[in-house]
Parts: sequence; structure tokens; C-alpha cells
Amino acid sequence: MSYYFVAIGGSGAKVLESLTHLSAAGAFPDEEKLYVMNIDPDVGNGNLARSTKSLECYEVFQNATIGYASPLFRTKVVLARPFTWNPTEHNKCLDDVMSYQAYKEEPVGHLYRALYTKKERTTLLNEGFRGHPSIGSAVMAKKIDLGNGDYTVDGETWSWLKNRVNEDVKTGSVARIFLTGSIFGGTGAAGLPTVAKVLRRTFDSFCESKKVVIGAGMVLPYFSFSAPAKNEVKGQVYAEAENFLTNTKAALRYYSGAIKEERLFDSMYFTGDSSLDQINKFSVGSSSQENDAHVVDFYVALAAIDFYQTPVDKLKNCSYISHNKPDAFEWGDFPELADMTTQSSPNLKTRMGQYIRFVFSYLLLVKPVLKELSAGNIPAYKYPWFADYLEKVNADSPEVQRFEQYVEDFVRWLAQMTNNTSRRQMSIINHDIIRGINPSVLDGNIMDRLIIGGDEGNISLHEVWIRLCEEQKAADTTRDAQGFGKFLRLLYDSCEAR
Amino acid sequence: MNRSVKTAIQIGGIIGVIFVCAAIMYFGLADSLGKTYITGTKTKIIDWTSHYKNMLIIVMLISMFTSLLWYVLSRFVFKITSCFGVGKRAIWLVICVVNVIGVLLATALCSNDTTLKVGFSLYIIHVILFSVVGYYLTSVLFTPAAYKYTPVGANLIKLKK
Repeated sequence: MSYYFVAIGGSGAKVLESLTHLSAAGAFPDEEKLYVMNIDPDVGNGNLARSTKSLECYEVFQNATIGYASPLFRTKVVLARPFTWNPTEHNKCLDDVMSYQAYKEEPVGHLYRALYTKKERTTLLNEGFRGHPSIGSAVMAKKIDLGNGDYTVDGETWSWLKNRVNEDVKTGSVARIFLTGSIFGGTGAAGLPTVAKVLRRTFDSFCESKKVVIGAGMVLPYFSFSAPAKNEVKGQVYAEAENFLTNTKAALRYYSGAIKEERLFDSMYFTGDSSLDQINKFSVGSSSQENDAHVVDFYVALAAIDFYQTPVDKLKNCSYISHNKPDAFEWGDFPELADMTTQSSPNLKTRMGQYIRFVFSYLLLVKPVLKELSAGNIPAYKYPWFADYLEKVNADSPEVQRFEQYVEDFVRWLAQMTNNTSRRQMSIINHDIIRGINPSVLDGNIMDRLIIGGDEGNISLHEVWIRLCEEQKAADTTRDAQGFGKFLRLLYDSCEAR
Repeated sequence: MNRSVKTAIQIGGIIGVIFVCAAIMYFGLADSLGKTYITGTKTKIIDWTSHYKNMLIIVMLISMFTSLLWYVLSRFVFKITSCFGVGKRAIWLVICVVNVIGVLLATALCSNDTTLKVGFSLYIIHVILFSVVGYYLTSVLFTPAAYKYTPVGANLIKLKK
């Protein structure tokens, strides 16, 4: 079995960020690889840049030799090369993509002019479809050649996906492909059904025999923003929050029909929020489109894991989930995990709790001093774990550097996700530990109260330190661990709730 | 091994090592040393040994107190809440100095008694047994994991993983 994840548009990229952290934390059901690709015309999108950064860091340090039988870094990610498929080309507008000049005087040209305003036709698509699914669906249909019924699409990213899935199926595996995007914006709304059709057509016989199953995480509206000042967006096409619900309604009607008529997806997960978070920063796209992580992204990433862990014959057409208290999110509101390696159902609190402690312990105990220790500027006797495991590790190695970048990104993500839900409390972690997004102002005194509702599992920083310094038994599982990986494994094990 | 059991063994180890040092001193060395020190005096060796026993108990208790003080501080008192302010070698050194001074002072004060005439060699032997072995070696061997390399040279003596 292999897992495939296709992120579509900015919302897809945000879900991908949550999924990266979940895979590093060992929330996936087994040790199979996760193949990831991305679809976005706005290649400079801030959300994409952020999730790509975490993913690329993970891609490097996931190879640290941590030994066996640990959920930590268990799911290895493999990124498509090139990672992002851009359905438009640089500096092209809708007119260019649709070859409007060639059909200008023909009836189809007249129809085209009636369907799209001049602004929609002539706006450059470098920053995506700007919340207009009508533009996105036209571009996607053109690029994917839906009109001829070929459903073919060129590009190395697609060839990569196709080859991987074919290889999997040949070896008798089931390829589980999960697509994610918003259905109220531009790229996701246009891309989800189109990409699903391409995949269905490409792997037609495999889909019939359930060798390839396709799932989708549909992101429904969960945020809103005020209309920008007229002079700010003069002459531009941009996303308008007031259209989100109308777009969503139309999309849901479409998917309702699609379930009956063409069975695009083996399983669909719809996730949104009845209370819309207000975003103060308006952006038409590109690097300035960088929205904070949100619990909705996290839910969709968990939906992907649910899709990967559910037996094929038990996949549901549509799934829904809710949270118990109207004014709070708690650990019990998230779905359970299935660990196929141990045939157990670890709860998310246990697995994420240990991982969160592991990251915070690294940030509080190791990161501030590692460089200085390696340079010999601080005496090693003060840090027994350094003398025992890290003295010979190069602190400037890509593995260490990328892990250090990653842990900071993880804390920023966690801080945003647990802080940014309007009118509801995120009762998951004690937010007081993060006195700023900058990890250098973390409060180590909060460690023993870090995981909310985890009284039996919370561990003080002092306890983590002791466990890390105590003699470790030469267990079989860590025998082959070495270097930085061995240290990370021991730190992770030291953060276990016992 | 359970951490409480380990703690009990470590405390027992400290007490045991110092007690063995005292036993070696009393049963192995006291007689011959005493004879050397009382040569030319009217003191009988049995009286000297009897007085020396009291001195030895005081020196042993000073050594135990300082060694256990370091153990208790590093095991139960020093709490780590960040990666700074760890190690505590200065405190270990201060206790070490207190131990040496304590051992020397006790030896000097107890030997004011005319019956208990002692020589310079006894000071050296007491320091070796109750400071070097009694404090230094026990702290190297039994300091809790969180501070296991704090005693000077412990990282060279202890086997690293």
C-alpha cells in the first residue's frame, strides 16, 4: 500500500503543512511512503512556500537513523520532481490559455466573451485564479484536454505520479490517492473535480478493481475577510469573501450529483466551520497570501489519514465529524488513529502529545546550546546527553540544520493552530508555553502542564533531562540507531507518557 | 532498574564506601600509625586507638555529610527548567572544599587531646580516604544521571555511550 497526497491551491498547501507534521509524529497507520505533489498556478503563494519548507526539511532529516519500532519519522515522504504542477504558464492570461485570438470572430469566441468579463480574460494568472473557479475550471479543462475526452495532461509531475502508481499496482499494492483543496475559492474548486476525472480516466481499470482508490478532502469556508479598498485592487480580479458561500453551495450541489452519476471519489470528507474567522490581511495572491494555520487544516489532514487507514471496503462516500463542546476543541474531538504495525488504536493525544513534548524539549534543552557545545565554547560536562550522543555529530550537517528549522516551523504552526479559532478555545496544549511565536521565548516551566487533559502523561523538562541522561538499555530497537538520529530517538523515547 | 531502587543503592553506595574507608583506617592502619606517633611518649596504644576511634567517627560523618549533601542536591533539589544554569560544578567544588577543610579541621581539633598525638601523615591519609575516595570517588560513581559528568574528570572515568 502507498499513500499519495495531491494538494491543490492555497488551502491544499495549508492542509499539506498539517499532514507533514502528522507524518513526522507517526500518525500514519504504517511505514508506507507518502508521495506528495502539488497543483497551483500561484507558485509564489505564501502558504505553499511555508508548507514546502517544512516538507523539504522533513525530507532531509527523516533519513536520520533512529532505529526500529518507533512511530517517530516513520512515514517517509517522497516529493514529486518538480513538486508543483502549474496549469498556467508564466505571464499568461485566460485569453492566452484559451487561444482567444484564434477564435475571436467565431461563435465560440462570442460565447467566451459573454461568459467572462474583460478583466477576467486579461488578468495575468501568475497569482492563481483569484477565487474565481470559472477561470480555473476553463484553464484546467483546456490544459487537461477534457474537450477531446482524452483526459491527458502533460508535465513531469504528472508522469511522476502516473509511474509511481503504476509501479505500486504492478507489485500488488493498493494506491490510495487523496486530493485536497477548497471548494469555495479558485484553484481548489476548479482543480478537485478535474484532477479526479484525470485520475479516474488514467487508472480506469485499477479504480474498478480497487487497486487505486481516490479520496478527497473538501475544504469548506472557515474564514472571511473584509473587501479591500477600491484603490488597493483597482482594475484587478480578486477573491471576494461574500462569494464563498455561493461558490460552496454550487460546488456541493455539483458533488451531490457527481456521487450519483460519475463516482469521482471513493470517499469524500467535507470540513468547514460555521463560525468564520476574520482575516485582517487581504491578499490577491503570491507571497503575501500566507494565512495562519487553522484547526480546519488539521481536521482535513486527519481526514487524509482516516482515508489511508480505513480498509478499502469500509470507505464511506461522505464522512462528517463534529466537536463536543460548542465553545472548545479538545483532544477527544479528533478521530482515533489506527496503527497497523502494532495492531492498536493509539489516540491522537498520546501520539501527538509525545511528539509535541519532543519538539519543545529539543527547543528548550538542545537547540539553544548545540552550536556552542559543538564549537567547544560551552563545557560538555554540563550536558551529559551531549557528551554521550552528540559530541561526534556535526551540528552544521544538513540533517541537524533542517531539523532545527523544522522544529521552529512546527511551533509556529502549533501556535497559530491553537490560537486562531474565533470564539472557541483550543484546549489541546497550554498556550502559555509559547510567549511569542519565536521559540526562543518558550517557557520551560509549563512543560509539566503542556498537554491539556494529559495529567497522566505530562512530563517536566527536568524529567526529560534525567531520562535522556540515564543509562539506556541497549534495546534491539535502538541498536542500529546512530549519530543525530540516535539522539533524536532517545529524546523522543524520553518524552513518552509513562 | 526502578529509579527509587537506584537512589537507595546510590545512597547505600556512598555510605558503604565511606564506611569501608573508615574500617580500613581503623582495622588496617590505626594500630601501626598509632605506634609510630606514640613512640617516645607514655601513651599506651590501646588508649591512643580508643581516642582515635572518636576522631575517626567524626571525620567519617563529615565525609558522609558532604557526599550525601551533593547527592541530595543533585538528585532532589536542582531542577532543570531550561538549558542554562546546569552543571553546578561550582557547588560541587564548594562542597569538596568544605569536605577537605572539615576533614583537616576535625583531625586537627581532635588531636589537641594529649593522648591523641598524630603526625602529618594522618592528615594526608584522612584526606585521601575521606576526601579523595569518600567525596570525590563517590560523587564520580554515584552522582545522579542529570549531573553525572559534573565531578571533575567524571567524563574521563565513566564509560561514555
